[in-house]
Order: sequence, then structure tokens, then C-alpha cells
Amino acid sequence: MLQNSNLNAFLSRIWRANPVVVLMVGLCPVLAITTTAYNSIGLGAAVSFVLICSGLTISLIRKFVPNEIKIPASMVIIAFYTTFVDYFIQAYFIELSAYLGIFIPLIMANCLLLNSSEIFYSVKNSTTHSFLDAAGFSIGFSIVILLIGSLREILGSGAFMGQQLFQEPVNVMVLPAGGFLLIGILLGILNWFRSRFSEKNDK
Amino acid sequence: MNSKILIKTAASSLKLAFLCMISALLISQLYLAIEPVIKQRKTETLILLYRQVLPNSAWFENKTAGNREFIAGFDKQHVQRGKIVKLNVRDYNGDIEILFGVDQENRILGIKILNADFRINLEDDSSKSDFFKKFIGLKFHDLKLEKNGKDISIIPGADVSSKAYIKALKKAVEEVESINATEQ
Repeated sequence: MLQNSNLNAFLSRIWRANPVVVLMVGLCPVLAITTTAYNSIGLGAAVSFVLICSGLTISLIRKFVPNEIKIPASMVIIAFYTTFVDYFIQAYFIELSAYLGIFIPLIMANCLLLNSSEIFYSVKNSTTHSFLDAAGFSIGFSIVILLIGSLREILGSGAFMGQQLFQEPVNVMVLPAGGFLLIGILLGILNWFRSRFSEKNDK
Repeated sequence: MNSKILIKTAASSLKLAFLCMISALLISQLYLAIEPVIKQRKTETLILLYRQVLPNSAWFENKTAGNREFIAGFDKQHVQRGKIVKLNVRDYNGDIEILFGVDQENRILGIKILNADFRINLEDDSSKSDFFKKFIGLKFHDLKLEKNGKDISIIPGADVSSKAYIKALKKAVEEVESINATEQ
């Protein structure tokens, strides 16, 4: 049975502490890669795999690894899983590998993972807590990038999942500028929604 | 006191080294297992691309003419039907890798840009395809690789990259002509 704190940790990563739209971490690949929904699913899956596996591994070995070397140890573990994902995508999703390019190896240097490894290292957190935390982070990250990727593909290419929907799209939306614009609009909407929600709760 | 810190540091370093060794060992084993699959997939993709630029050929063979390398395309009767040159062109904007397929009469059958560092620009794929379609079926002497030539128009909204593509095309034509001259 899930404890309340574990469930809270899981849910907060999806909504209250969403890595992209609240914590604003890992934005570089989000802006560069989310030009299509397919790319977003690929990046979301890759980051989720690395995040969950490294979270579990770190929480399992933290008792044997002293605090002084927790950052290099975390980086070695994250690098291991990133390399694994990189090889896997090259072998079985070569087209996706070409699209994601340098952003697959760069998952290792993603602030999202570095930020999370601190949480996984926390002694008070159990392995279940770390797993749920990582899963929450992954789902929160994946939902947001899928939303951004889908909107950018529809608006910028006039297509969704490769299927042409209309002609004469707004090309700027597939450029990084379009990504910034869309994330800004999304943040504005979410903040407005959040403030309305908290006002209602206060009353 | 100092010796305690030294021992603690040494122990931490050894633990980190052990973790690195385990990771390296696992990664090397993974690489050994997956490398043949990666190679196979790359070869399959490359053959797929060769078929796109030289559709009249069933199989391909790497060849050399002098010091120039090219890919010869053969039909099922083992008759050479054309050749593909693969070359990198350095532009101020980055590297362009181009596959350029011509038949035995020097008629262009296919052009494919494999990668361009300036991938993110205003063009979309359809305009790029239209741009390259203009050259398909043309012989070398029909080509007008000039900005205002009658066979070329700049890709709408992507002036910089279409100039780079023309530069790459010019180099590809030169390469094929050099290979032809060496073969004769």
C-alpha cells in the first residue's frame, strides 16, 4: 500500500513541481527537440528510462557510497543509463536517433537528472519513494513535452504524427523562437489557472 | 587527524573507482552485444538511401576511380546502371553530406541531403523535395546551377540553405565528371 508521502511526491512532480513548467529544468532539449510529437515521445521515453533507472540505482547504492562522492557517483550512474539508451535507440530506432542527435548523450548533463539525483540520494527517502518520485518526474516531463511537441507540429508544420492536417502552417513555431513562445504561453495559462485555484482554496 | 582524512578520501576514491569500473565493464559488454545490430541497421538504412537516389539498381558495390570513391549500382543481371557519389561540402553554415545518383548517361536520378548542421530553418520538407525535383531527369549539360538560371529557384524562406545545396550539387557534378574521366 502506498504511503501518503510517496503518493504526494509522485503527484507533485506531475503538477505542483512539474520539472518543465514549474521548476524550469531541462529546457534546452525541450526547446530544441519538441518540433514534432514523435520526437517528443522519443525524448520523453529516453529521459524517463534514464531517470527511473538511475533513481532506483542511486537509492539502492546510496548506503555504500559516501556523501563526498555522491555527485560523481550519480553522474557515473546517469551516464551508464544514458549510454544504454543511446545504443538502444541507435540499434532499434535509427530515424529517431538521427532526429534527437546530440540530445541523447546530453541527457546525462540534463539539469532535470542532476536535480533529481539529489533527491534520490536523500537518506530519509526509501527506494519506493525514489521510484515514485522519478516516475512522477518522468510523467510530468513527458506530458509537457508531448503537449509542446504536438502543438508545435500542428501549428508549425500543419501536421500531427506525420499526417498532414492543413497547408500554410506558421513556420516560426518549429524554430526555437516558437518553442520559447509556446512555453511562455503555456506558463502564463498554468500560472493563471494555479492562482485561480489557490484563490478558491483560500476562500 | 590528517591520516584519518587521508584514509577516508582514499576509501571514497576507491569506491568511486570501483563504481566506474563496474559501469565501464557493463557498457563494454552492452556495446559488444549491440554493435552488430547498430552496424546492420546503418547498412540497411544506407542501402535504402542508395535505392532512393538510384532507383534503377538492385544492388550496390563500393568502387574507386583513381583516388575517388563512389558506389556503383547494378541491376539483377549484374549490369552497371549508374553511380552514386557521397561527399561532404563545407559551407560557412556547417557541413552538408550529399548523395548524388546518376545513370550511365549522366542523367540525375536522385539527390539526397543526408545531414545539414543548419537543420532547423524555415524550409519544410515539401519545399526541399520540390527544390530537388527540378534536377531529376536532367543531364549534366542541362543544369543551370546559377541563382537566376531557368532550372533553379531558391527555396521559399530558406535562401541560405538552398545556396548551400547548390554549392553541394556543383561539387557533386564535378565529382561525377572526374570519376567518368578517370574511368575512360
